Amino acid sequence: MKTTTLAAERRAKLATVMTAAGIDVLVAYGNGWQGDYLMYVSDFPILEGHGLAVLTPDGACRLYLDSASEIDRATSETAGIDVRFSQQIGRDVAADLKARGTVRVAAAPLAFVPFALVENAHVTLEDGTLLVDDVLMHKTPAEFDRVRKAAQTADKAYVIFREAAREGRPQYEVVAEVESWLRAQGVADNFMLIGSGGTDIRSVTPPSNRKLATGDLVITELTPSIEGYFAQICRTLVVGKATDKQKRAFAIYIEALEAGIAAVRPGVLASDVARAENDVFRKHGLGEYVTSAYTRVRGHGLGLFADSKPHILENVDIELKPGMTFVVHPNTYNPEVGYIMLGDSLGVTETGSEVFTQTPRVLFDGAA
Amino acid sequence: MRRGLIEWSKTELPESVFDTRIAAMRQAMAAAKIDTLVAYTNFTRPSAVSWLCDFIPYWSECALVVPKAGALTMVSAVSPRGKPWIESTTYSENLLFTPKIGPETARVLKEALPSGATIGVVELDEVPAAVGLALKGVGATLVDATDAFVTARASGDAAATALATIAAGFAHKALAAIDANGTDAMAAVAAVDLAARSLGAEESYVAIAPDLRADRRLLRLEGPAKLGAAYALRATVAYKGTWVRMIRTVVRNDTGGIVQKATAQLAAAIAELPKLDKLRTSDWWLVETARAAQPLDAVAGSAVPTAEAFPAGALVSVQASITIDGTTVLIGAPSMGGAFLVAPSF
Repeated sequence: MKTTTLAAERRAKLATVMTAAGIDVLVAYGNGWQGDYLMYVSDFPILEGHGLAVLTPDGACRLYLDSASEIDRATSETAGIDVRFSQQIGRDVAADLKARGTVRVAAAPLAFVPFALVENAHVTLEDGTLLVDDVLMHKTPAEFDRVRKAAQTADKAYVIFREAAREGRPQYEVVAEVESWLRAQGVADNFMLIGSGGTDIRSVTPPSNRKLATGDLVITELTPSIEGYFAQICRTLVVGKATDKQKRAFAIYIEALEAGIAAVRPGVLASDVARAENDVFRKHGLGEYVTSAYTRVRGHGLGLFADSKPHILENVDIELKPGMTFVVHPNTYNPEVGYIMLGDSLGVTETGSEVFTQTPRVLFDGAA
Repeated sequence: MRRGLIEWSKTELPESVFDTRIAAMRQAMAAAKIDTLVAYTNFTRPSAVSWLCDFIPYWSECALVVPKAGALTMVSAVSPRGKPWIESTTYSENLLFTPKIGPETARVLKEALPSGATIGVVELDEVPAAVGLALKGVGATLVDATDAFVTARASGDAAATALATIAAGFAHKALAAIDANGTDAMAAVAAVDLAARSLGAEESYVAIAPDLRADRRLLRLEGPAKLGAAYALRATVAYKGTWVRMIRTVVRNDTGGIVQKATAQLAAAIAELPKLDKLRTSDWWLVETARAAQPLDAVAGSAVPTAEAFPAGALVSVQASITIDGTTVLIGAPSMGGAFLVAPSF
């Protein structure tokens, strides 16, 4: 079960930030896709519907949820918060704020709170997104350790993936085996995408009924969570034996991943890491394939959301600091063999980085 | 944030199904004096959009624009690289890609609508502030279109019933995979999840009450737990946009047929729906259905302050806590027309 001390530690950290910023009330929004702001405040890993948590600097928290099935979970899986069922959370939280007579209210992320909240609030809501982003990105040692443990689980889950990814199996059966294995370990959540094929595959998606065939590149990003903290591994395998062309292409991704990881240390920018990865592709004449036409990000933050900040891109100038955790993944399309994925989770330390995932950086195949 | 098999089967959901649904939607729009409908979709609120065009987002968010006549437009925050996937799973002719769907949807509406037009938004209160504010900026009259949507959807159709029956079958098979003599709660959850996903479930959420004598609440298991003398698992299973819930309670050495009696009580309560008198005798109960954007929306229950009316023939998932001879039994199943879609008997 989750440790309530970690939840209390997080709320205390936020309370300090709120007090320093002069915020009377923080309203955090979350749903089953992105629940990090809500989880940080309330300690509730929301699954269905959406929710708003109302936090005051004294640490008192009230959680509004619009899925009746989530109420039991919230009352049993959290401690010390006031859980309420509401079929109109925006209106009810607006009424709550008015009853408190609050003056300064920040919401995070403001863009995603229900429209009814901004329409009915008695004060103009301030955008508290950056304020919360800052505490989300800079992990405490306890949080850092949760991401480390999640990465260890990701390594083990990839072994299951490799064993499951056999010729003739549809993608969804492979994913079913991995998800089931994770449940058997007590892992409650996982974000996972998959792709299989050759040059026809341009991205990863939820599993389809496409069957794995000899020669396919099988790509996945596998992202289990431990106590709500996600870590990711990205790898590629070949059904059957890898060709020399596939091996040559993969070697570029190893070089790019190593260059990206080597760039990680306190004081550098997220853009520096992205540039280190992308320069490798440019050196090999593949610069076109690190643009948004072929790929999204060159890595991203990890924590209470599987795709959090900072995004590792050449135009993101967020400074890396000790305690930040993210995945470096130079995933992109290769015109000769198809989409390749390779990525490792790591944390920024005082002197550089600690790579959490330990799965060998090889193109796995039937001969491996 | 997990997903299983997502695909558009034109055998199970032919385009004609969507044509009929869109026509019903337009009829409801006309009755409500709505010129254009906007339905928002994301990971946890996909139901309205999937009913209209099959699309289910696994990532990010989209808005579907349904004009009075003509083609539907999907405005998607998914990267354009996702276009082939969206096209393969969506009945919509126009796909637009943008990181910020609010302003782009507003632009589409501004270009298409005459002055004085009315835009109806499904669950207007619940859409993200950025989307709601952008739509407000169009300058048209902005109204909530939830009632119009619920009206259009209320009559149901054979395709939806067929999908729900398949989902219920998946849930039953998944719960049947539990080793009733087992003691490891994680193994029980894993067995249910594996069975549901291997059958082709689009989503599978498994909740567990490992020891009903200690606590009847169903939770998402994280870490080891022992199964008690009586325990329950709930399978929430989605199949092609249709969600159902089923609960199985295992009572060890159930010589008195406790679970069977509870199942019979639930069947009797379901036979009376939409009357709720028998359910109200339970200390905890819940009736959910797909009304608008949530796949399973609470319409009545012990924790729901005001019960909402639902038709006698509606597809609903019903859950209840029933005490038999001093033993708490959690029982639940999808039902329609007063009978179980698939009986929760094991």
